[in-house]
Amino acid sequence: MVHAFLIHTLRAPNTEDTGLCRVLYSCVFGAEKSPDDPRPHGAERDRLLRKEQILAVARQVESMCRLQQQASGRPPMDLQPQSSDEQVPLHEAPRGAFRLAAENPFQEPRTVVWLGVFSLGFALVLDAHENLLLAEGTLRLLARLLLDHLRLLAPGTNLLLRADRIEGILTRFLPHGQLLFLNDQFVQGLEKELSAAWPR
Amino acid sequence: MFSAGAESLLHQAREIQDEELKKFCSRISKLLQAEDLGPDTLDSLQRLFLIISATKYNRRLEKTCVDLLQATLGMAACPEQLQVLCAAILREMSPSDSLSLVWDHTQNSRQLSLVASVLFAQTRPPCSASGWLTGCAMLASSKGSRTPAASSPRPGPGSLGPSTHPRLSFPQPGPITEVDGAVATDFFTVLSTGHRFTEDQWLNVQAFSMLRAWLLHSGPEGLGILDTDDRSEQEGSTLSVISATSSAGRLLPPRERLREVAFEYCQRLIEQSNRRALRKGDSDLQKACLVEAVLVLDVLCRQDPSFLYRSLSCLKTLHGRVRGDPASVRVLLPLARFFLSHGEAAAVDSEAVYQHLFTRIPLEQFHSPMLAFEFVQFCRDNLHLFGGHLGTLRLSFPNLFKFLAWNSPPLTSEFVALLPALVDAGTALEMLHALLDLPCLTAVLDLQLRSLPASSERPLWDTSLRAPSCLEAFRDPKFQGLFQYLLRPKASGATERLVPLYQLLQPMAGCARVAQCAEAVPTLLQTFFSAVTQVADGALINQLALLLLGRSDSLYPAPGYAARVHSVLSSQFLALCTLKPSLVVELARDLLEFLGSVNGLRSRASLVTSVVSPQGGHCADDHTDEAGLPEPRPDPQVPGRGGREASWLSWGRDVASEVFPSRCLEMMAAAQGLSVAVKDEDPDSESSHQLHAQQGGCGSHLHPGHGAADPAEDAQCGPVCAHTQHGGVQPPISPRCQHGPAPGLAHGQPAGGEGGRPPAGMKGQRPGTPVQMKRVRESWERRQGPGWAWHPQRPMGLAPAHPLGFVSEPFSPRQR
Repeated sequence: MVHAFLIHTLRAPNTEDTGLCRVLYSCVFGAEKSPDDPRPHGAERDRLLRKEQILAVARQVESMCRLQQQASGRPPMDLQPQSSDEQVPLHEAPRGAFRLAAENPFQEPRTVVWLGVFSLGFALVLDAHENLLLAEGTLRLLARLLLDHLRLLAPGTNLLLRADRIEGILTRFLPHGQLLFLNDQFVQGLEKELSAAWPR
Repeated sequence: MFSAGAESLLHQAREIQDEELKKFCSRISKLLQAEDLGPDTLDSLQRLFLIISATKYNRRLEKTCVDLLQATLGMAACPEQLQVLCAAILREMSPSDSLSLVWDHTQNSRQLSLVASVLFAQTRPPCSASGWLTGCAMLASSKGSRTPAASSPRPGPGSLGPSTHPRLSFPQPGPITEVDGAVATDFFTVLSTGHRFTEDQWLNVQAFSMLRAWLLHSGPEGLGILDTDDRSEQEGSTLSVISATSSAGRLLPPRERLREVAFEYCQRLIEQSNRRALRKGDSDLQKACLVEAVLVLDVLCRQDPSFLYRSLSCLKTLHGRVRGDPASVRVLLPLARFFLSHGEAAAVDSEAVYQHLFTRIPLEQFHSPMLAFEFVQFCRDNLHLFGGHLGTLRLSFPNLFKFLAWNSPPLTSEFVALLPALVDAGTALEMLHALLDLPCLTAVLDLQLRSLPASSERPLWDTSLRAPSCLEAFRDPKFQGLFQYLLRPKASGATERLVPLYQLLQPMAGCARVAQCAEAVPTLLQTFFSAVTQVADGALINQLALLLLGRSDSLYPAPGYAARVHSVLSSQFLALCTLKPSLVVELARDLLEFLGSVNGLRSRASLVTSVVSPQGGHCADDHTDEAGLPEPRPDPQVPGRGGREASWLSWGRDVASEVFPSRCLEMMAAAQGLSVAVKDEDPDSESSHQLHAQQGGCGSHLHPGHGAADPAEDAQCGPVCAHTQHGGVQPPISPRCQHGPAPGLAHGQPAGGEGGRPPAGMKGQRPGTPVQMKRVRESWERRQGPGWAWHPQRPMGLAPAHPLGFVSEPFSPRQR
């Protein structure tokens, strides 16, 4: 089960630390067991906690991605791709996984699988003992679908006002946070459905 | 992709004021009330979603607006774009007390699914049930949302079984094929493809995706939220179709039937994974399916051991197949777990499995970040299963360290958790060496990758660094032994000095990956010492103490590495001394040799301090324990002791401010205690005679009875000379004092051995100038007030009660 999916900014390594890591989109599938909190504003506090948890994950992913880029000696990421038709080789994109201990920041221990594509980070927050091969494949698929259907490589586009399309992708390919074993044929079929519901 | 424009948009969404938001909500309410479901509404809802989601603080929406959002979600004619946005907005607001969604049977499956997504965010179900509920919601939503098909079977595990065979269920627009293009001859699975997929095939995919969770929840260890009766009823109804058409022809209770179907499905997947997929996506999926199949079989065997003997043969065959395929390496981990869990029961010799896993895989695949993470997680999560194979794991630490050396940021915390289990008295020393050499290992792994034929399109090594000399050295037969030792897969029981490698690989010391590893080492050292002290006996503690002193000047020259390591080693040395106080006595000679051989004192100040401070803590005045060893206890019987300590500290501060950095001060002051005691050993030693013979400005002072010598003059001599003053001949610690320039350290001390001498052989320090020393002395005397003289003297109460005869105060200014 996926607990959360998020998209956030990745700042280039070795540059001035201007600005903050921004969470551009996040979706939490289901709520965590919250600590017993008899205070009247429990719901608001839960929401605040959830947002902060997601931001903590985004920052950690950004840090891991930056360290990986530095270690590999690659030049600072191109913040803009060369052309909007460029086929992004997602198998070569920086990626990784790390564990989050219990109560830091989630109640339960979680595993995060992440992928960096130009200046965007994509991450899945998983239950502790998930099938990581499947999670990795799903994350790559989601990134590819988002890049294609939101035309994220085209200059000037952004995903801040495109939540409906992101939601459309998630309801088909990661419904309620369930990782699906989708072969190519199924992916194509679902994509056709998506394109029919959301003409480009 | 994230431009300044987007940053501005985000900022606006966050900063929108309540009044403005209220107006915006009113506008949206009007649109929704009018059932205007066009582009304006779409645009407004997108903006509202951004406003709600952009901030972590709650946004209060008008109740009218919230109600209309909920109503719009429930409208049958509402386009999907708007429905998902309404659901997303409501979900983003959750948890909230202002929502009142209803699960209505009149809603279509897509709406049900969207409502469920909001409810899940709103309520707080127990974690174990959320997955189950999710599954139901998913299946409920899929029913009827795809291409309509006639009388599809009820969603559930039943979708998995042979009843979904294409020929038996629904007319297909074309044959079902395998991933390699061959026509399928067996039942449909997630690895079956067709021109179009149908409802039941979609259910099949979903059902398998949830199968493991179902099995876990339905098993004895599951925390199912249904009571037994409800669960049986549901399973029974969905499986009744299956059991009638089952190839085995037997009628089993629903749970057992589910397991049987799951078993057959997994066997089919394992067979299908052996085909060469035509598409990359399908090839990736095959491996994910293999992992899942093995995990499901593991669950089945735990729930019903009768599956064990049926699973073993196919899994052994699978293991044989994947171990030769580097692309399938990640499948080896669940297989290894299976053999760990069940191998004993099935009398399987799993040793070969682990040998291959721990010996070959890390050597070949340390550079893969996902495998590295999974491998270490496998070790960490299955420690309780290792049993008799724990020895194999422990001996493999050099290989495990390769993952760590290459991928230190994500794996440091994993190793902090794992290291205690790897620590063993037999390999502790070798492991400590290996930890200290981790950054060097990182550099060597980089060289290894450069020297091998490229295994991927993108180079795996640091492309910003060219190190031709290092690569040459790596290929030089002269150094093969050392490189091979560092790259060894298993603990060898022997240690090698890798100092030649440090110099050869110095050009790589600054590269980013090495730096990242170097940062991780101090934490790992702390963890190591916490663990090793639990298992070390006295002899090992002594060896560890000597090792960490010995290695302190023998570290890979990564920038800042030595300083960080020294800091840890010094505190760990003290900890070892606290754990075993007799250590300083038993290793006295070695410790003195260490101090005598210290080069570049400044850089190892912390370590030297820690060496001498335990000595300083043992006072000849102190009581001894039953073994005759000194107990470091303040002795109230020694008169004026507190005053002497205060004076000493004050003097020390003066000197430091004039001549030395503060670290050296501590070290020097502590060293005085050491050298005084040492001198007591043998006042007539040869070294003292050598001292007397020394010329060059020192000789004139080398006679007893010398009065209040001017330390400024003494300062021109070596450290030994400075202290051969009144109070008797003070032989040096070692004959080396006659060599070379005097360490300046010595010249910060009062001439004449109050507090003893700094250890001879302390080289490399700039001597304090006579002017400086005079200033220090004058300032000190001023501070002490009248009656105090800068007078070299043996500390009071000194009695060589034991070989070292240390004192607590380095010197005592004699009060006139």
